[in-house]
This record gives sequence, structure tokens and C-alpha cells, in this order.
Amino acid sequence: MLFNSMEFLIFFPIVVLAYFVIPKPLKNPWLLVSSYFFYMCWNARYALLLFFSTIVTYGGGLAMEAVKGSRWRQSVKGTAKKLVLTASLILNLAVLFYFKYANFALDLLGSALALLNVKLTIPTFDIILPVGISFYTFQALGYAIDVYRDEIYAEKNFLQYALFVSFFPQLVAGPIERSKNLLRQLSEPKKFCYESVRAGLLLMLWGYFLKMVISDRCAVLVNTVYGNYGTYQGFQILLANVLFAIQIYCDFMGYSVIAKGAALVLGYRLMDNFSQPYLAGSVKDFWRRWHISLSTWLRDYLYIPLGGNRGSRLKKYRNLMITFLVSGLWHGADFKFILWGGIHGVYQIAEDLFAKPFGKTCERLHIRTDTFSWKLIGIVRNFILVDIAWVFFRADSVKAALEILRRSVLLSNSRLLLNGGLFQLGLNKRNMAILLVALAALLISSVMKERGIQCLNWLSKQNVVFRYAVYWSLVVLIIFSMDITGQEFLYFQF
Amino acid sequence: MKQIGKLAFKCFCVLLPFVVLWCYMRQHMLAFVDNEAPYYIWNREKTNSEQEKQYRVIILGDSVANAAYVPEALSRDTLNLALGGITPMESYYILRDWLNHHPAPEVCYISFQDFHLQREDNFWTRIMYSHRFRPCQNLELMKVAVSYNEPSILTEHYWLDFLSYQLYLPNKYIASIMNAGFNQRYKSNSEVMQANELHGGRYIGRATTEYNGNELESYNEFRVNPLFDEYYKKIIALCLENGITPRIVKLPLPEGTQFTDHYKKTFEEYYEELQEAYSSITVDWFPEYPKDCYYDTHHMNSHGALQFSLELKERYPEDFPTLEPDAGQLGAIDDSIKAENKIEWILKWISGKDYTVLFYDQNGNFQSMYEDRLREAWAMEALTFYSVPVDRTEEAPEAPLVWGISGTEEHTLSAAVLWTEEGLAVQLDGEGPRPWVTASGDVLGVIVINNYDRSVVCMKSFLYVDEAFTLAQ
Repeated sequence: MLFNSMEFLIFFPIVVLAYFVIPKPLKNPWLLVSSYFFYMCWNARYALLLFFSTIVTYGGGLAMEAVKGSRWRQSVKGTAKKLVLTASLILNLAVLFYFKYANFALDLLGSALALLNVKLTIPTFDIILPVGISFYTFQALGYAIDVYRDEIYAEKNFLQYALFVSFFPQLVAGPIERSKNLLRQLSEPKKFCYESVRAGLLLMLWGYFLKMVISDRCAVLVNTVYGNYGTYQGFQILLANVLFAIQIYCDFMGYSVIAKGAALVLGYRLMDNFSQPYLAGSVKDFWRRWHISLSTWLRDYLYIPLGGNRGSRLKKYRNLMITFLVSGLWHGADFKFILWGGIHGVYQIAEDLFAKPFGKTCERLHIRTDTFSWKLIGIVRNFILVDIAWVFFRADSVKAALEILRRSVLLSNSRLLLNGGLFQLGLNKRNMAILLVALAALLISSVMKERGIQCLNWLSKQNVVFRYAVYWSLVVLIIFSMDITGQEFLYFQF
Repeated sequence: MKQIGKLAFKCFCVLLPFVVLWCYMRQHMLAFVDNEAPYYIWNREKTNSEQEKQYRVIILGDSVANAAYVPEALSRDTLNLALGGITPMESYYILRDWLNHHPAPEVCYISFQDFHLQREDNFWTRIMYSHRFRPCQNLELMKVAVSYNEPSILTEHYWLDFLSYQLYLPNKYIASIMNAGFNQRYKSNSEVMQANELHGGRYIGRATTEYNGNELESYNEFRVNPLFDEYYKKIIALCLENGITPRIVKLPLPEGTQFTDHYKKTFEEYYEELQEAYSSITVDWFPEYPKDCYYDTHHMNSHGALQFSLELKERYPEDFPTLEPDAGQLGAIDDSIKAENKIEWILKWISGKDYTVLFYDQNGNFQSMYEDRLREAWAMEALTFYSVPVDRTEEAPEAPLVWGISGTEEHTLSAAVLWTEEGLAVQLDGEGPRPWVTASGDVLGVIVINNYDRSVVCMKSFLYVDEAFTLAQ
């Protein structure tokens, strides 16, 4: 079930109304049933995987808690806990591996054997990638690791824990919630709160705006160019690349905002998944702002356990590269994603390596780095770097990405900028105009947030005419984007 | 509770643009729907409203039937209720709608192209989009489709699509609204409705465009999908229940269309079985027509449709008695003549009807051409050819000859051609002169006069090129 589908528009009000009407003891079971229904609308059988992941990590958590409370020696306890955690990790990752990476691994094996001149026909599995498997697996694993680290107590209430893993607003595309945040909130079913329902609905409206007005509109042009990149070059590809950066941001952020809004309507607060990533001045800063729930997950459960910044510079870079390669692999079983992660790893290493000499050079040249113009240069430079990496993410293959990058520098078609040729890429003048207006709104809201102004709070303090002008503009633009919507959220595939 | 009320009110306020748009979509469909939807809306309104006029013959079927049956050429009380892309399933409900609001007709012609006996074509984009049926009927259609698991109707989210259309949700109409610039289509759609009313429901193939392609179909097997078979039979049963004679007609396809023996065998088997079950039905398979009678591989153009309709009329004279045409029929004939691009087809339209065509013969050889060759080639024995007096003035002592052809044996119109200060004019029954505009140059000027109301239907000019008359631009 997509957030931008009719099903959800029917499903959500029913869930919310019932949630606030039914007695307190039934609220969480109701949300659990609704969440499983939400998931099963896509594929009923694959709900078993969700259930499996829930059972394994729930059982693992209880087992670790039992070990902790036992009278065993400390070293035995540690070993036993490690064993339980390892089992939990292996079982979950095995499922993830089978459904997401098995065919990729077999392909790799086949290629490796071919290099060794061994001709072997390796069959591939006919598997559908379960929606959201990477998200809920990581969320469940995060819980198991937290219990192992004694950061939280294992949850004894199975229904509550199952709801934590399957909570429908963030089930299929995150944010990857932490047990410390969501699980705790789920222990106390919520009452109707006018303010949070109102704020949640407004967030959802903003999320739909991002997804339907901006992202889906960008997708039209991006799909046109990337679908037939051999016939485009220069400014056409550059425009598509820029729009893809916007598309994926608004798509994923749109989903996260709708998820956050939907949870808030029910009274739950999900974490922020984005913080104006394209206003970042460096790649390192970008990763503090982009897909925060995943990047902090990887930081806490992979990068730091690997050693993090501790040790030599080489070790730090190794840890960084591993983390980013895993991040790439998490996004998909394809070399292009691994390469995409690797590029970001290289960016960060390069930034780190050149930070000091660059800073010294600026000092010697008396370049003021606290000015707006300097920040703007940093933002633009960072956007270009990130956008180059997005080409690998969006293209069908590494080869295609390289060809797209090659074609993007063939700038001989500058007349397209003047003769309206850019309107021949799927977005006519009207849609381009709508997109520009919407992007202006996004930019304003991003700058406001960057300056610490919460747009919703700010808006609620404005006079009624202005407020409704904003609401109605959003509603009208969403309605007038319905003819080009219906596309899945990009992050569903991960 | 107060807070819930407040929240609901605010939600309503925020969604006000949606509500306004919804009301607009609900009330003013003609202002934005595409230019094919009005035919379905007309069909709905026609069948669901009481008509003063009694119809003796109605036509049911798909686009091929809609194109082929020309009510104005058949009789004044024939109505074409066929619609593009529909199957016997929708046709059954159209017939039911009709019978719920009107006395039963005497005869019902039923024609479907094979394709529409096998799968749905336009269910969502036409039937649902234009709200051809009432919600309860649509629900019934959906239920039947579900029970038969009909893949051409059951889309991935068919219940949601169903709801979206039924509730007039913007996701189904916003593209039309944007393309229409909100209400820019109202005028053209209203004109479409009027034209459809004028032509008794026939809207496909009203142009004279001819098919030039070579891709003709080959038919290997005649099959009827069980769902549509059930409705085919339900139509027949409903006809018989109401004393209507059902006539099934397999419409002619372009010359060169292939039918294998197996196809013919399965076709015969199916209809023999049907005739065993319903003995009073007739089944006709019309032979192929020349390719220039079609505008594509299936649909007749106005020439083919006229030819077919005249043949049908000849085959079933009891269904189409010769009656004095009424104003509606004459309006439709006039409109069809206006769209004609060939003289012979103008003459076919007027054949048997009180119309006159005058020819302004600048070459002076039209009479000999007509009598030596054209009359036979055009098979126009029934027409009366005569000379029209021309008032030769001093200014134009050598004015060309003018000939007249009357649609009936006795010509009731007394016409004279004269020269006025403004140029050529025609005088009908001693009334004041009316200007007759012809193209300049060596052309054959043609004026068609409706003798029933003494109106000039159209004026055209033809060039004689390659032994044929072509319309001068």
C-alpha cells in the first residue's frame, strides 16, 4: 500500500478513527493488526518474514535478558549473550541475504568462475524482493544490539515489540527507528490530542506535496532522459541529473514526512530522517543530514564497533570505506550501489585528507570562510559531488552511468536553453512552472529550517488568510499533480 | 468532542479547493471531459429520459456498429445506441435502460466486431470515465466481472478505480481538466452532443476519409468469451421478453479480410446453437465491401455506412418502411450531404428523397458524360436528369448550361438560374434569387437543395480530373 494511493486514503482514516475510539488495551493490538494488513496489501505471504524477524529478535532479546539475570559468571554471560546476538544477527541477515543478495552473489560467483575459465551454469532464484526488508531487518537488529549492549531492557510484551518492528507508518521505508525512541513510546497508547493530530495532518500534507508535486514531476523528465540516455547529452543530461537529486530527496523525504505525520496523528513521534541535506557544505555534513536514521544506524552499529575514528588515520579510512560500501550494498544488490557508496567514502576520505592543507591555504590567502558566499560555494560544490554520485545510483548499470557522465559534458547543445528544447523532455512549460514554484517553496522552507525556524510553528502563528493561502496552494498543487503521480516511492526497493 | 469537531471543520477548510473542484467535476462534466465522452453521456441521457419520439428500430453494438448503421438513411425512427469499445455486457444495460424509459422498439439490430465478443476495450476509460451507467449498474457490472474473473476489466486496483470514478475523484479527471484548461471544452462537447442527437447516435465514421493501408486482418476462429456470451444471450432474451425482433448482423469488413474455414465453421456452429435456443432470431453475415468504404480496417466511413444502410433497408423493408422524413432526419441528411466530397455519394443521399442538385456546367459536357457513363457507373437510374433554364442576360450571353438532378421521379422544385449584379444566383419556385457561389476556374458547380423546406443544403465545386470529379478546395 502506497502512501499516495487510494487504499491508504481509505485505510488511514479508518485506522486513526478506530484507534481513538477503541478501549486502551485494544489500541496496540489494533495498530499491530493494521500494520500487518498494511504490509500484507503488498504481499500477504511475505508478512511471514516480518513475523520471523520479529520472533527472532524478540526471542533473542528475552534470551539475552535471561542471561543477564542469570547467576552465571560474567565471562560466561558475555559469551552467551554474544552467542545469542550472533544467532539473531545471522538468522536475520541470512533472510536478508537470501531475498536481497543471493542472486547477486551467484552472479558474482559465476563471473569469478568465468574469469578462471570454469564454465558453470549457476541457476538463479526466482525471488521477489520483500518490500521494506532492509528497513525492518535493520530496525530489529538495532534492537537486538541495544539489548546486547544493555542500553535497553528486552521488551517482554510481544505485541508491543511486534508493533515496534511493524509500525505501519515507517514499516516499508523508514525511518529506521531506534528502540529507545519508538519502543518506549509504544508502551503507552495515546489519547486523542488535537495539536498532534493537526500537526501530523499538516506534515502529511507537506509530505504529499514533496512526493506528488516535486518528486513525481521530476521523475517524468528523469525517466525520459535516463530511459534513453544515448539520445541525450549536455544540458539535457545535466538537467536530468539535477532533477534526479531533487527527485530522490523529495521522494524519500516526502515518504519520511508522511510517515512522521501519520505517526504523529496517532500520537507517536518518529525521528527526523532529513535535515536539509543539499544545504550541507561538505560530504561529511551531507551524511549528517541525509537518511539520518540509516547513517546513524551504520555509525552506531558498524562504524564505531569497527573502531570508528580511533586508531591510525588508515584504520579510520578503512572503517569509513567499509561503512559506506555497506551503505551502498544496503541500498541494493548491484555494483552501482556499491560504487555509489564507495564514491561517498572516497569523497569523505579526500575531504579529511585535504581539510588541513586547504584550511591553511585559505588562511594564507586571507580567504574568509565565514561568509555567505563561501558557504554557498561549499553548498554548490557539495551538490555537484553528490549529484555525480547519484548518477551511479540512478543509472541502470555502472557502464550506463559512465556513459551518462561522459555525455553530460558534451555541452554543444546550449541552444536548448533558449529554444525551449528542454520542454521536450516530458515536462511542458506548465509543469516546469509548477515545478519551479514548488522548488521555491521547498527552498524557502529549507532555509527557514536551517535557521532554526520550524515552518509549521511559524505558519501557525501567521494570520488566517496567509495560512489558508499556503494550505490551499499545497492542496491545489497536489490535486493538479494527480495526473502524473502514482509512482512508487523510490526507497521501497531497498 | 469539541476538539474533534474543530479538527473536522479545519480539515474541511483546508480541503476546500478539493471540495470546490469536486462539485465542479460532478456538475460540469461536459466542460472538461475529452471529446469522445459526450457520446457516452448522450447515450446515457437518451436512454434514461423519456422521448417524445417513438423509435421502431434500435441498434446495439460497438464502434463498428455505430459506424455502419446510419439512422437518417434507414428511417426516421431508427436510433443507433451502439458505442465505441463496448461489449454485449454494456449493451444489455443500455437496452435495459431504454426499455425502462421507453416503449419497446419493434426490432433490435445487434452487431459486434469479434474483438468485442472476447474482451473489454473501453470499460474504464469510457464507460466509467463518462459515467455511462448508474452506480448500482456499475456495481453489478463489476460483480459480474469479478465472478467471471474477467481480466480485461479487473485491473490491479479495480475496486479503487471503481471508487475513484464513482466518487468523481480528481485522480481520474485532473488530466482532462488540465487539458481542457478547466472549461474550454464545453462548447465543443455541447456541439458534439448536438451532432450526435442530429445523427441519431451515429458518431463514428461520419467523415469521408478512406482507408489506404494494406494491413487487413485474418480471422482464424470465432470465439465468444463466456461472460459476453451470457450477456449476448441476455440481450436476446430481453428482446424476446419485450416482443422485440432481434437481428444479429455480422457487418461487412474490407475486401481482402481473410476468414479461414475453421473460422466459418466455428461462426456457424455458434450461431446455429444460438438459433436453436432462440428460434426467432435472424443472423446475417454481410459480404465484404471495397476498401474505400472504410476509414480503417474495421470501421466504415460515411460512404460505406450509407451503402450498407441502403442494402440493409433493401433486405429488411418491413423494418424500414418508406416514410416521409421528419425534420430531424432531414437535418441529419443535410449535414451528411454537407460533409460529402463526391458527387455520386451526394446523389446516393438524395436518391428517393425530395432533393434537387443543380450543376453549373462550365465545360458544357456534363450532360453527355452523365448520360453516357456516369449514370450507369453511379447506378442512379431512379434519379431524374433535366435541364434548368438559364436567364441569359446581355452581360452573359454565353453563360454555361445548368442541369438538375432530382432525387425523385417527379421534380417538385421549379428552379431557374440567373445572373445578378452579385453574380450567379438561383431562383427557387419564383422566390427571390439566392447567390450561388462556385470556385473560379474550370469547375462543375454544385448546389444541393432540400425541397422539403426549400433550403440550400450546400454549394460545392468539383474538378474533373482523371475521369473523376474531385472536390475543389
